[in-house]
Amino acid sequence: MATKPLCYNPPMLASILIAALAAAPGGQIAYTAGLDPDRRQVRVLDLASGESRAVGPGQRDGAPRWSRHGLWLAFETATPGGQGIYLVRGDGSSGGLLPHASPWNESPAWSADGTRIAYSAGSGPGRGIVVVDLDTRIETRWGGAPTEPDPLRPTGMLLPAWLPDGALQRLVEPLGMDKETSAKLLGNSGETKVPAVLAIGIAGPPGTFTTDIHAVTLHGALPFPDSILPSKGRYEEWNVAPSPRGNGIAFESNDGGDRDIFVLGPRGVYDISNHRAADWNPVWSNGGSWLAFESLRGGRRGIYRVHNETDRVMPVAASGSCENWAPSWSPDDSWIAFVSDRSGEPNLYAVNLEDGQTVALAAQPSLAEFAPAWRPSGAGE
Amino acid sequence: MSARGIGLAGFWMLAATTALARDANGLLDRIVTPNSGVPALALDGGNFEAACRDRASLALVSGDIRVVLDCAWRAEGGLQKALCSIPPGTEPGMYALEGGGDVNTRAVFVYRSFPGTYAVAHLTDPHVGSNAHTRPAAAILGDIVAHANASGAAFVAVTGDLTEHGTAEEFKEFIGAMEACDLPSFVTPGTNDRGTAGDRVYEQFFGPPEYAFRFGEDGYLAFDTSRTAPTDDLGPEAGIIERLRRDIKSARWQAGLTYRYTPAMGMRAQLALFVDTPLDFLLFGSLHRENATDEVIIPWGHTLALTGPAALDGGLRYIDVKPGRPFPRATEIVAPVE
Repeated sequence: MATKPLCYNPPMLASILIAALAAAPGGQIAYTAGLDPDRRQVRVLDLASGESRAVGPGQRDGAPRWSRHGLWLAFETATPGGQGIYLVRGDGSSGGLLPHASPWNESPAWSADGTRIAYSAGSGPGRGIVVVDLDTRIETRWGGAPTEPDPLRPTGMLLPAWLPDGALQRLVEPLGMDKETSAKLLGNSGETKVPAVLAIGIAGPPGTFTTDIHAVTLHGALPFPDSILPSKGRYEEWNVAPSPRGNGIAFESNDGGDRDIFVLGPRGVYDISNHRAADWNPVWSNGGSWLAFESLRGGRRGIYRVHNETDRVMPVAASGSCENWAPSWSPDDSWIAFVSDRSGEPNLYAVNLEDGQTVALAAQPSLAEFAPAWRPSGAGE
Repeated sequence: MSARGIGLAGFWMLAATTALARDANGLLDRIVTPNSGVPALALDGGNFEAACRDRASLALVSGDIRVVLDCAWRAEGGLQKALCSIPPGTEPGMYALEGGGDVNTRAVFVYRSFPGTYAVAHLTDPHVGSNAHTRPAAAILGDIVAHANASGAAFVAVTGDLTEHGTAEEFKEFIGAMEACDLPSFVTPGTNDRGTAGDRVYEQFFGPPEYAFRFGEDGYLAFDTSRTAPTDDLGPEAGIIERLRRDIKSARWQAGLTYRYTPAMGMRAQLALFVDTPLDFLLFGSLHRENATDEVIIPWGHTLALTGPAALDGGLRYIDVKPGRPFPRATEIVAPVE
């Protein structure tokens, strides 16, 4: 498959591309718009009509995340005393803030069945993972309660990402958990599919902070052991991303010096992006075969993809003269939407992975656009 | 040539051709960078990069001296960028950059060589426009600038809260006070400089707040802490910081300039600056006092965080940069405030 350099397309080619884009399943992209961070607003772009509709309150709205079937959006937004999670239908027809116990809430993540949202709540050392049941709107703090002083207990839990059903049980052996340890996570309920998220825990006394991936359930939180990384030593992990197909867990680590993308999968743990330039922000394709990620390997921030089985890396949107970031896969994995500042302001673009052609999506080019999230194609929840 | 030697030669005292830089309101016009808050430092026979809104013939100007530059242009990010070659033999000193009818004073400093040991005048929180003291903040700043001029320091770092309210009038007054500075002066914005959120007044006077420069063997990276928090991984800043961090990775000392460190700043920026390849030291502001050597400012890695008194209170602090380690001197109060 040839990958062509990024370029502006002649009008006729652009119209053909846009038609192909609009025909792609899930023909809507949610994103945030606005140069002023305090007024940044979540909007939804309809690819067929080119029309963009505001659906967020426009109060420092964060990156939107679609529910699995593409009916709802969740994102953080500013509140009078902090930041809350805002829930809205993709058509903007109804929405509102979730009720929160803590004034500070961020990084919402949908459960696969769309019935729960996990997020990081609190500030400072008290920041932990909270899960809200969307039927009852009741928040539950996950991670269990500390039973004794533990200097290694995380002082903050960030960036939750749901594990597919049953995936936690499959991690028991690779993570070297004994029966007692696994009981802390799985509880004694005898459930065979304990819901779980992965999150980043910040641990250590001031001056020696470190970050580790933690498995978090209602019952407890346990760090991934250092031994899962290829090298001995203490490294900082970030941005953990379980594959939607359950065939791997991607994460960033500075094991080896520069930041790289690692995958914990059937082959063990391996550095899948492996480059002396920094690589970060792994995003699985919906089919679980590819990971898109950002990298400085081309000299500027660019988007690349790597095949999960062959480790083959291919450029997606990389240029020596502009920054490209924030990849989002189309539902059929044939396109990737992203942000580029090639025109001077950050705007949305999409690249066709078959022919490498790029099309500008900007609904309002004068408005800065960020954080595209391609709507999944699926039945309603 | 040492920084003091340059000062004794009096070359820095050469005035630019025009006292009124930028446009009539003091805003950046055709030439965005370098400017008086983000100058270019280059060897004669070396080069520097200029970012302009339109292409133009560029020249260095100082008094009667006019050096036409050979520029290789390219379009990038909505701007026209020029790699400007300085002819060998160009006299060392401070120059204005002129092009297409626009002039940025104190924009380019030409050197014969860079010293391996030098001092940075760390001047922070001048709060121009403040009524905290009887004397106007700009007058206090003027005294501090005079002290820095006489100190033999290599350059001045002004780490935030240049102004009290972030208005165009205050930025213009700040720039006016700094015009007396014979040394290169690098600025970063603070929270007070942001005025009404999103209005980009700072950028209209100094351009993007994220930039890197080298002084001889050493590399410095300026950033705006507040821009890393809400836009972490959302906007371009995190990627720009990653790139700038890489650009100074080979430097002897790798330092940061910003108005403050906070654990709440974006994690992507923290990973790039303090975790994966920690900066050696960070000059910051906001505290309005000298920090204790055992005060844990940055909870990651081993970046030494250094700050000093507010210029608004008449003080500054010099940092000796030399092989071995950067050495902060004691705070000096050099300007009366009443």
